[in-house]
Amino acid sequence: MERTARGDEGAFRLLVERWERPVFGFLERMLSSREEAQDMSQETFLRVFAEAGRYRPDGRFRSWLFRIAGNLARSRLRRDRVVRWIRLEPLLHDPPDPGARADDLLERDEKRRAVRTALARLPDRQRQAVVLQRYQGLSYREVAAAMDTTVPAVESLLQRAMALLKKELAGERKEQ
Amino acid sequence: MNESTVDDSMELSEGHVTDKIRACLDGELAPDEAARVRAHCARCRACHRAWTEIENLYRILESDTGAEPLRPVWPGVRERIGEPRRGLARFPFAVGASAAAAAGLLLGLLLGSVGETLGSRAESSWSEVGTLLTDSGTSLDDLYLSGLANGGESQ
Repeated sequence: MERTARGDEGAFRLLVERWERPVFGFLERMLSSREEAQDMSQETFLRVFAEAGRYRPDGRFRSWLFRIAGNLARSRLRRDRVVRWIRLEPLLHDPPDPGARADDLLERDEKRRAVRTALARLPDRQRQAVVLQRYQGLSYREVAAAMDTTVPAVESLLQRAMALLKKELAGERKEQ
Repeated sequence: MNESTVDDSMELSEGHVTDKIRACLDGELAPDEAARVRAHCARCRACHRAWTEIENLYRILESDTGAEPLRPVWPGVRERIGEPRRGLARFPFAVGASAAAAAGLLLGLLLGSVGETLGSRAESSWSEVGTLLTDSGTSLDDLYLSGLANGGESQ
């Protein structure tokens, strides 16, 4: 990061290549769209480059990185909701049909879709906490730093999210 | 966790640890506390059930292995390094001003719509008064004079 902050393009390229998959994975689960995630990944790294001088090495880099990606994802989600409200039309990358219950998606190859459906139905902040903690492997403390909140608040978000996921994925659990 | 070691009596003899199970599975507890939670869950039916449920849920979530980026991110980033930021993000004051203008426009439209409704209602009321006066053969002058006669103010 120090070399990136000094404008070292080679160092920045290594950083992008090291983190592009986790950032894309996080954004794809947040936005439920691969195209949007691709676009926002690029935006995230441009923001990292622009703000590299402000990064303080005392914090964890990935918390800082996911804070940038999370802020971009959430503002994109907010913007899309406003656009949808103004146009009175559904989002292209909306979660699947709300009428379709996760427990109807019983086929083995549908399990991933059921998980995505359940994740997409979580409130944004709960989804962000789950994706960071379960899929990106951040500790509660790192999630708190990435979401600009406290560890107890993260625990509460995770607890509520898990209760909703448990309910949504009840059908899948019976399959186990 | 081994089902055969579960003991129902633990539910009565020891406080449950259900609130710590997730933290334990998430690796958030200190080693000694994690050991205590594991030991309790091995013997307590309720906590064992809670442990298994969370484990199963985690297993289902893990079935979503994620997707690869559609294409490498670097070339697009490389192309845009040094470019000014896109659109309004470069001018935060413009975003605020646009939002204020949009809010003003919406408010204006709303008030206009309310005013129009009230106006048409008032127009309709005056039209109804006119019809009543015509039907009763009374003119506005008669009403005015009648008001004066009753001590009303002539405004």
